[in-house]
Amino acid sequence: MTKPGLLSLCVLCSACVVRAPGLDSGPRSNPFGGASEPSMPPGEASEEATDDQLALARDEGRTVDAALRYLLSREAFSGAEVRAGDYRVAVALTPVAGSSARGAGSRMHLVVVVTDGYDGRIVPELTLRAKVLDTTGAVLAERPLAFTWHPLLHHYGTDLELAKAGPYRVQVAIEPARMRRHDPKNGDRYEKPAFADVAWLGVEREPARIDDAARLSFAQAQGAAYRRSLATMSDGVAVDGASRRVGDYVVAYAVEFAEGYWYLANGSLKYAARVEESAETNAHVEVSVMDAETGRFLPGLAVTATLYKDGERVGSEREPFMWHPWVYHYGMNWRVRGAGRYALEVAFERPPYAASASPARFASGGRVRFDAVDIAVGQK
Amino acid sequence: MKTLVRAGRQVLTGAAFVLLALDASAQEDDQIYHWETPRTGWFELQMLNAFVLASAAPYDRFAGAETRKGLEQHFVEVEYGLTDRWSAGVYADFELPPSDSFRYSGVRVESSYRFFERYERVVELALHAEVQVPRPSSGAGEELETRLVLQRDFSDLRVVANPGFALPLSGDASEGLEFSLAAGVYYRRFWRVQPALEYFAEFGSVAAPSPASEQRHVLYPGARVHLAPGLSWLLSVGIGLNETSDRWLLRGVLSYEFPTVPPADQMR
Repeated sequence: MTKPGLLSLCVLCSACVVRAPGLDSGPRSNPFGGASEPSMPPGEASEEATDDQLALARDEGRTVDAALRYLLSREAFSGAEVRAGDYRVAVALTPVAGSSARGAGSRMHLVVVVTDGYDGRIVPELTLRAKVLDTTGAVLAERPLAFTWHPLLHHYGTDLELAKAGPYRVQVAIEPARMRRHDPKNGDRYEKPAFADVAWLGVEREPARIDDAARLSFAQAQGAAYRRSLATMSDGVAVDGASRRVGDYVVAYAVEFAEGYWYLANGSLKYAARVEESAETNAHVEVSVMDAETGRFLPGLAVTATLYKDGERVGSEREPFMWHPWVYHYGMNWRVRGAGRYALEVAFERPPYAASASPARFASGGRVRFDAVDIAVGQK
Repeated sequence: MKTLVRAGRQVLTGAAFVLLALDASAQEDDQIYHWETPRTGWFELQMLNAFVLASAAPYDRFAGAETRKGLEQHFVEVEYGLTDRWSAGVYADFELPPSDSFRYSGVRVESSYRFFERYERVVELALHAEVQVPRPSSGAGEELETRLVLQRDFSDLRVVANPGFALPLSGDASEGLEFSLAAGVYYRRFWRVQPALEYFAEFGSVAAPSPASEQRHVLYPGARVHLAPGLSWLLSVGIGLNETSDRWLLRGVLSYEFPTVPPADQMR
């Protein structure tokens, strides 16, 4: 590289590196302007969410934000955050567990935290892809990002072994979300793909030593916020609900009337009005699986629910993840025989991200039975 | 701007439905209002077509026919969700009197408000009001009609009742407040086809009800067919229960509810 070229690069880097300690003012505009145009997803009182319930989601979002600030300021080499579409996307480079090497060829971890632009909660069940480039624009790595369980902050991530030293430019592509979304007003989000272009991320800064107690405290704060939402659903909104610990998990259910949702079809969101136009389905069975240690919701599970009435099996349904304006859950509309007392069995496999969880946990899936589940029938 | 473009598109869509109605065949303003209203920013288009197959009842609108036999009525409605509970709409009414030409017969402006949340009370409760402004040459007078909407789901069975009161606002108002009742039972177990039984009665003046023989009582067995999510067609046959009612009618109510302006977009 010529001297003027090098000088220009230095000036560019000094202007654009967003160092972690400077992130306390929230997301800033991307110096490259490469992010999708920011849009504010809806957050309005609706049939599914009162203002107070939306506030619960924002409370949870604040705990996520606090953990993110901590990660960026204490645990990351560097990081930056931008608004992109309906999301806030934070990108950081951190050491891999047990290593502090950061030169060319050493392993490091790419952290991408995708949160909702309105309430700040982590958006799970997304499909992400990241590209890492050097200062010449050469692609050093390109790969999908898996949802990663993390003792401080769940995120999308991957371990990297980059041949060249930084600084790095990271481009993150988010596909339109495939999950179902409750709420005719607030569920209309994540329809468009989003893109975030973050530069320059360096690895010069030495992160502080990992503080397990601090991590646990931030994680428990996230879990406590989620549990408050869950308790509000279970005790104040749902027809019935309860929770039980099983191994490394806490499993909860809530039963409501059958309800509509948005779904992605041919690239655009459609509202499943059919649920409201008949009694074809007459109950909505919600399941939540949490990390027992912190109370945080665990996405990405294959959950199956089975209902029994008077000892006889009514049916089994796969319960997909349901985005909800204030309490994420797995859920499905059911056709049950009528109002009354049922037994509910919930089974799920080991999370796909269990192998990367450190310290080790989630050695197996879970199965739990609730013997007295009161179901009322109808459509919401 | 985006919202304006969308709203313009909705108006054009509504106009297209009106034109469609002009070409459609047949029907009577027997209609039951359910508790549900379009959500904020959502539209509902409705076209009601009725065809009087046999009737000895006198035809008292416009001139040129003695009975209602052969009468066709077409009503086109556009309803808009002002809030999740409150909607407003407008009807354009057309009819083809026996042995005459198709004509515009009047306009109606309506509004509905639903109370409480579903299943919060013993019955779902809503209030519907409409002002009817008939075409002057029809001979009919303006009228204010209010209806209570009482609805209850008994598992797969929905029961709806619309007791109504009509107050003449012009013309011969000597009879004063009139009372009517519309009620329906719907079996909603399956989405595609839902059998329905509807009943309409007009009892005359509240102060001096008409004798039973002069009241109007019509029963409509039929079915609601869902053609697609949001799009349904209620088809039924009307059977007059006394001499002063039309003897046989055919009726269709085509409804389409759609979120042309998704609520989320209103906030962006």
